[in-house]
Amino acid sequence: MKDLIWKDNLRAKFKSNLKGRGILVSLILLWIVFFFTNDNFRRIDSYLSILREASFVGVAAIGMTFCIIIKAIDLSIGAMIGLLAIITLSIIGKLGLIPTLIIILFFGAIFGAINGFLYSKLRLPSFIATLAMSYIYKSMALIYSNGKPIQFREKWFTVIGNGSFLDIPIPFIIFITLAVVGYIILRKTILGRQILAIGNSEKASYLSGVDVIKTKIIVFALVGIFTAIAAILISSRLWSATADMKSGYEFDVIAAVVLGGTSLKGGKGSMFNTVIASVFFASIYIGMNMFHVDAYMQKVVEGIILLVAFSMGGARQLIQEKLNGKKLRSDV
Amino acid sequence: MTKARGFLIIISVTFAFSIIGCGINTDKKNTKATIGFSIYDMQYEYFQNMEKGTKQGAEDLGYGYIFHDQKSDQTQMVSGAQDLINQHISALIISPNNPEALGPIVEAAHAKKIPVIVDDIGGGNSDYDAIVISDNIGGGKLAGDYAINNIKAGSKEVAIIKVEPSAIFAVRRGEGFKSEVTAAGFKVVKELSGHSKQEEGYSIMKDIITSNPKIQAVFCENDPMAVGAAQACIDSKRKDIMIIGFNGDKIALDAIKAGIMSATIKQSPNEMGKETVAIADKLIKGEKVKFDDEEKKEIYIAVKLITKDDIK
Repeated sequence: MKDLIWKDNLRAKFKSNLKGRGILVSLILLWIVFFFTNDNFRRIDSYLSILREASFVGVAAIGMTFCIIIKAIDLSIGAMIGLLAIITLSIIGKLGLIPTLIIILFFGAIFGAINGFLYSKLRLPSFIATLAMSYIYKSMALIYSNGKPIQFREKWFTVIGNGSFLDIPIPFIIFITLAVVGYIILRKTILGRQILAIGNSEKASYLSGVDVIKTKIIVFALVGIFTAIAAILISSRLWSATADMKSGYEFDVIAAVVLGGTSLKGGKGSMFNTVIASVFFASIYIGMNMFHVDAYMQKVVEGIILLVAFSMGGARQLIQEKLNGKKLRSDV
Repeated sequence: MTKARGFLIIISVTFAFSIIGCGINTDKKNTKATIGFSIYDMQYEYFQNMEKGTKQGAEDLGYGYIFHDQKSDQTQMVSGAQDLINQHISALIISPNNPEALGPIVEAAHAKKIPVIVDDIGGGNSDYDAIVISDNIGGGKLAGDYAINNIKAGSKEVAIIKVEPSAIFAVRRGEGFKSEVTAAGFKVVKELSGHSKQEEGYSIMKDIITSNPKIQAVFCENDPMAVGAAQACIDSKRKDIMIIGFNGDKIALDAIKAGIMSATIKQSPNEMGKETVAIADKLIKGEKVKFDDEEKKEIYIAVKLITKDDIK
């Protein structure tokens, strides 16, 4: 008897440790398969390359996690990246790194706050508000740059996106640092509590005295700030910026967040899983290149992953509802 | 929760194995030196021909060959080229989607002592080892001469539908055309960018017909835009407008045969592909490469005017 309980306890412990870590298991499995089937994955270079590529999506995914937790979505970040990257490269030569960083973060926060204002104060659906803003950001980027690419090739700047510190890609170090910051904001601060509360029930949090409008604007400003950092990383990586450098980027980011288990229905999300999901996506992309998957086939795989990512939340819900439903019926 | 996790695991394993399944055919063991080729976008016939030429060239010279499609995405261009570099290639040939972003690729390649040969599009001030391009200004001038010889009377208004400004060599086509026709007393009334896309060629042409109804000829800096423009002319019942393209794609040749388009300037992407491999071969062996423009490391490939008479 005692033995049985002990066994049950162990199983429960194992289960609770793995709970919500499905994406981590998948990633490890994927890497194991890669390792045993392709020579290129027996060199550390490929994995470092994956971590570097994951960072460019992941940084924005941290911000997007907050946004999706409150049941909103931001479709403007792809256009925002282009605009912010162009501004970055046009001022960094004159102002240096730190002032540029401050200015770009400020711009990011402002752009995000505008999105948040439209969404919370004017009560536009976030989908429409950010889609409209994405056109405006893109046009602003085209007007500002005359549709021409801007280049900046000083080594001290390009090293941010291309360099390594102790063999670890610098963008990945920045990414992990920011993920920790995101985790602290979400789990250890009042703001984080409020964000989760709004995601769970807007009405309840309003009644319990949360300033819903202010919090929503702050969430969108956070999205803007993380997008701004991504813009700096990407423009440094590419040594250049164009207005449409990242069209479609918002969907990669949203896919990573949703694959990480953040529910589109709000109220739930994990920074850790968002990080792992970003790495998972980058592994798939680079894996397909290493296995020389046909370019058209790659699009099919991308499509399937998106389908899976977006149906995950729904599937989980469906399974749970089915189970609950059965239980209820057997009760009656 | 458990079920969802199991679902994810199964999915990822399925992916992994389907990827392997797709990869097995192309993943031949090759002990010989390998050439990596990263291409702009395989959905354009021009680049399909370039890929054929490059592959053929690599096979003829006995090199292994691996290939990557950027799908018109500059981030994929950088990460994909990095993946090629990580696969122990001996030379990298690239037709860049955004030449401005070649810098990090060339740097990463040179760090592993891999020479970089740029095929067409542009070099973006990067430190590449050679660049192979069509004689674009010459081609634009050929197109200009054709327009001058065939338009004797009328408003002498012409327009140019341009590619994206970052394609600095393709932009030379319009410059060549413009210098030739303005010298002959023509007026370029519109210069707009169709971003190399057929549908944008169509919509721009519609706009031009509305704003400048007296237009007599339109030069498009590539063929897909020219075909789009030609379709716009048919839809607006303006068959009198002369459309000249650039590239020599099959769609354009068909359009010329059908009398919808007047002419195109044929490039030889196939030849360019072969030439890049020949240069890569020389660079790998440490031989000297002969440049047409020593300072910019440019090598030109001749172009040809194609009209209805040339197509049987």
